[in-house]
Amino acid sequence: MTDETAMLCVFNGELDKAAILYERYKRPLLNFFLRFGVEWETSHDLTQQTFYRMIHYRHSYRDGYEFRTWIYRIARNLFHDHLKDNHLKMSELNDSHDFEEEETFDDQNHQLIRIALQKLPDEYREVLHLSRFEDMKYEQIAEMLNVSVSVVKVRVHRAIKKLREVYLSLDVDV
Amino acid sequence: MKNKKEELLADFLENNLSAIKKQEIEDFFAKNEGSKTEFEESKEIFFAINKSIEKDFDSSKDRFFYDFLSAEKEKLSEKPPTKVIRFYERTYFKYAASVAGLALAFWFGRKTVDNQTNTNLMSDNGSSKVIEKLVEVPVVRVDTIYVANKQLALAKQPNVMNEIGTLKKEIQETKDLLILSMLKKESPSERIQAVNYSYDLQQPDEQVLKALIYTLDYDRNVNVRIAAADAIGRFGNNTNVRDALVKSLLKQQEPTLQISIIDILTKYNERKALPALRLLAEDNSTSEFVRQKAEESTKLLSL
Repeated sequence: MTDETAMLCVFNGELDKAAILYERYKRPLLNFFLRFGVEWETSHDLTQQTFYRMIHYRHSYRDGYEFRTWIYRIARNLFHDHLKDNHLKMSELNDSHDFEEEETFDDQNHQLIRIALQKLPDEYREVLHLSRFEDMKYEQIAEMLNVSVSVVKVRVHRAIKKLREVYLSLDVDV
Repeated sequence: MKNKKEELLADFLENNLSAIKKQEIEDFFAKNEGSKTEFEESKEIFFAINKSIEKDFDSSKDRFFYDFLSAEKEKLSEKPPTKVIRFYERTYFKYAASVAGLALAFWFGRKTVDNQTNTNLMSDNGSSKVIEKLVEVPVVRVDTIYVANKQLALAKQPNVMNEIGTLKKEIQETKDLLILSMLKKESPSERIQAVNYSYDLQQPDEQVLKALIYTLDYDRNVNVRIAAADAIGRFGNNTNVRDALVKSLLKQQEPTLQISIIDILTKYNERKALPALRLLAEDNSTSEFVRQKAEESTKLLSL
């Protein structure tokens, strides 16, 4: 059963099918929040809330929507609500979870890239995150962020330019 | 123009370009060596961003989702299905069915009532009375037997009934306490869970209602507030709840919540909401959709 079929069943009141989507997406969504630097417990909470919203707003799902983009859009909105509610900026969240994992095998270069990524303005960091970590196409990112594909492309281009700039400055500092 | 080039470069980065467009970029780089170096370096850094090891979801937290899902399924089964007026529900059909039922009862009566009774009644010249009696007799008898049997069965087991009553009360009290304690939890998922437990209660304790209203007004998480609004909506026949909802309406900033509260107050025909609805409808900072909703409800409640 595809994600879209399962979601249409949920839309039509077959709520049991929500469990299929939960089992498929709980891990990717947890990691989506963790990679943005949200703490372990809060990431679990936000993941759960994503599914609450999925069920609560099931009637806003439309046939033809790509489920993955739709659910990530919910997750992204929740993440932004979380930042707003806690008066946080994306750049203030530390991606410590990832560093801990990688210290043993990752080289200094990768760590510098991660630090550089964290120092990017939120809108740049977000598109690179979705493109590289979530393997999203520009079209999917555009749909998720509710902007045009052109805007995403321009943003990606500026983001990698800025990333290089920050990375090189860090490299010099080291 | 600059944006167009940036778009092309973004596509070039992902190898999404046609041969012609690719050549266009190659030509540009041939003329601008500096841009080419800068782009190549950026590209290298971009592709060096690699995924970290994915963490597993803590399965001990799955129960929150599955409890929530069960509660939602229960809610769904409580809701009446979408009202589709079928052929046999139409008014004219109901009249026709009543007349046919009456005629059938009359015929049935004629067949079952003994001749003596029939003769006596007919001799009174009261044909309407005859119909009334003949229709009523079997129905009253069936009801009486049913009620009498039920009372007899219950009367035989007074202790069991008392015990069930006590148990029900205890379960209700335990759930009340559980809800009150869970509403104080740090995690929004657990607070939503607490709100959902209230669906098991037919008539929650006054303290639980107050806690739900407090959650609706002040919980820092919008999802918890939305869940509380849905749950409170079930107790809209309680005047205190409606009064609290009227007060809450002006405190809410979230359009989803404003809409939920307006729906509940309109459903229960709460005219005390009119001043708040007018304020919302006239307030320029209110979202357009909420303003429309407030105007519609104002009209409905003013009828």
